[in-house]
Amino acid sequence: MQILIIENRAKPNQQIHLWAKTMAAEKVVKSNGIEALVWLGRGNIPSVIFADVDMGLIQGRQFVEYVRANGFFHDIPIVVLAEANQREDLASMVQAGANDYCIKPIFMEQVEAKISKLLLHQHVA
Amino acid sequence: MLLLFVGKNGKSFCQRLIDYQYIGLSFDTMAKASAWLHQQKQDLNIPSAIICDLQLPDGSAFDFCRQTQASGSFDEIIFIVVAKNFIPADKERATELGIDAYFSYPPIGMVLHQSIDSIRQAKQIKNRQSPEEEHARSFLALLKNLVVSRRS
Repeated sequence: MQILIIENRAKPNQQIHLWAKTMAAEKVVKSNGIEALVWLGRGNIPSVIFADVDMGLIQGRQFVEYVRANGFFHDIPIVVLAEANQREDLASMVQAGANDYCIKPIFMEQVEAKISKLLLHQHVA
Repeated sequence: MLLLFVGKNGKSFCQRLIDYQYIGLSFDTMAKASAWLHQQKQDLNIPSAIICDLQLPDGSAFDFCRQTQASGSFDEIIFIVVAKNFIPADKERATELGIDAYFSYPPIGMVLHQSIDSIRQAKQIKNRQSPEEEHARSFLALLKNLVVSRRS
């Protein structure tokens, strides 16, 4: 399994990294939404995308809209990672098509539960 | 660096790139792939990157890519396909043909710009020869010159 994490490298989401390690998942870390879109555009399709609300050079909503509009990677599950004070941006990303979210601090059990649910949905679909 | 956009939305598409960062970039647009293939036979400008609509008036981007590959000059050219809608089968074909990237409308200038740069860098690294290969190549060129000069 390959996962894409979009986060500020200075503030890594430790629990996500830990979860990836437990799952022996291959991690690809990008520090902003543009880098992530460039990587996706080269034909890379991860099993899930974890994205911080703050995506640097691009708005979170724009990122989700762009991913959902591209037939090559429109069905990749997106989990948004947000601080408690970022609920407005979080809501706009969910509205644009993000599948789920985690409010920080994030707990590994929470990540596990969300991913199992998402991947199960994907298999059923 | 010359960009070539093949498809009907060429001008607005390339303009987005230029508006973003590629100041002074030269670009050309063509609606039909056949026009470029014809021009290429006359050995005119070879672009650094071809950005191509998935659906062209005279075929698909995949047909165009295949024809370009057959012409033998494909290795150096960055080939990007853009479309409003891709279907899963498109991805398989794109991978098969070695298309460098695929994006959807409306394009994000920054993403395209960075993609072209990163693909260009990757191609440069791939095409870079090892010192042994370079040595062998220059030796062969020397040998060829020697044979030619002896014959004459």
